[in-house]
Amino acid sequence: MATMAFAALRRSLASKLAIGIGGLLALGLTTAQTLREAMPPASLPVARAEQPIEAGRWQLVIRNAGLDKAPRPDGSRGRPGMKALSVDLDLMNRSSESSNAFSRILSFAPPIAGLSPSPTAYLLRDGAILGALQPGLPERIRMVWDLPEAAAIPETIRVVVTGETFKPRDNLLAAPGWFNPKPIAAVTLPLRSESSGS
Amino acid sequence: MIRILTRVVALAIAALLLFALQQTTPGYSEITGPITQQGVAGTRINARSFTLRVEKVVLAERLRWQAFGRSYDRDTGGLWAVALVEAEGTPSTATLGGAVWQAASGLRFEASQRAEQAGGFLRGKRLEPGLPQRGLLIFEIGRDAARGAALLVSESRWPRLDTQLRIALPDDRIEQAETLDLDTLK
Repeated sequence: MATMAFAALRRSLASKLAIGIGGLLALGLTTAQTLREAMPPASLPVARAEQPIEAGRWQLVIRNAGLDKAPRPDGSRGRPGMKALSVDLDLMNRSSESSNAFSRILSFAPPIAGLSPSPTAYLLRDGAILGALQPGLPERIRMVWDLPEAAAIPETIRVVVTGETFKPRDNLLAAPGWFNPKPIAAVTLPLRSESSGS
Repeated sequence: MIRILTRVVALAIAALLLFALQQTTPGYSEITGPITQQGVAGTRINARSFTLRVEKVVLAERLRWQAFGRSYDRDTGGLWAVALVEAEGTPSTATLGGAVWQAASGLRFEASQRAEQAGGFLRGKRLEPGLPQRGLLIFEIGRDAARGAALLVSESRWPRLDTQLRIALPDDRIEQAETLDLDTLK
C-alpha cells in the first residue's frame, strides 16, 4: 500500500518536473529568439555610392552628399542661422502604388548632432518639394536636412538605408502594407565642399 | 481497423475543410473596402454622392499650363495621362478625394501632385449639385501602363464602404499628343 502511494508520488513528481523543465526551455528559447530579432545586425552590408540598393519598397542609388548654403532646388534659402546637409539620390518606388513614405529611409550613423529629425525632399526635375513617387518611375531627388551653422560635421558621413518588408495581410486590418523597418545597408560618402555645391 | 481508418479520413477531411475556410475568409479590409461600380468612359455613372463622365483621355510627353502669372512646363520619366471629366455632386455637395489610374498590370498611380496647380485639376475640389463641372484628372504613369487601364474615382481618398467608380478606358477614348497645353483643353 505504502509502496504504491510512494510510486504514484514519484510519478507525479517526475511528470511535474518534466512539464516545468519543458516550459522553462520553451520560454528561454522564445525570449532568446525575440532578443536576437530585436538586436540590430552586427555588421551592415557595405554598399558603394552609385550602386543600386534594394530597400523594401524603394530602390535607391545614392549619388553624393554635400553641405551647402546655396539656395535649395525650389529657390528658398532655409531658415537663418542654419546650413543644409543634402544627399542626392535616384529613388524608385518598387511597390504597386504611389507613395510618399520616403522621409525615413536615410539616417546617419554615427548620428550628427543638431540635425533636423526628418529631411525635406526635393524633386530635381521640377525644382519643387516632392509630393509622391509613382510606381516604377525613378526620379533624381535631393534630401535636405537642416543643421545649425555652428554644428561640427565630419569630412565623411555614413548613411544607413532602412528598408521595410511587405506583408500581404497585416495583423490588424488584414490589409497589405510595408512593416518592420530594418537597416539594410550602409554607404560612406565624402561631403562635397561648400564652394562646389550647387 | 476500418473504424480507425474512417476516423482518420474524417479528421483529414475536417482539417482540409477548415483550411479552405480559413484561406477563403475575406479580411477585414476587404469586407469594409470600397464598393466597386463598373462603368465605361463616355457614359455618365452615378456614385453614392456624385456622378461622373469621362469624356476622353489624352496621353502626352509634356504638359504646359499657365497659373499664378507664370507658365509651367512639366516633363516626365513616363507619360502624362490627362482625363477630361465632367462631374457633379448628387444629391448634395461632395468632394472628389480619390482618383487613381489603375494599369492593366495592377499598378496604381494616384493623381499627380506635380500638376496640382493646373487650373481645372479636379482632385480635392468640391462638386456642387446642379452645377456640373468640367475638369481634369492628371496622372503621371509608366509607359506600359497606358493601355487597358481603368480610372478609380471615389469621394474619399481611401474609400471604405463607399462607392468607388471603376471606369474602363477603351482605346477609342484615348488620344495622343506630344506637348499638351492644358489651357486649350477646357
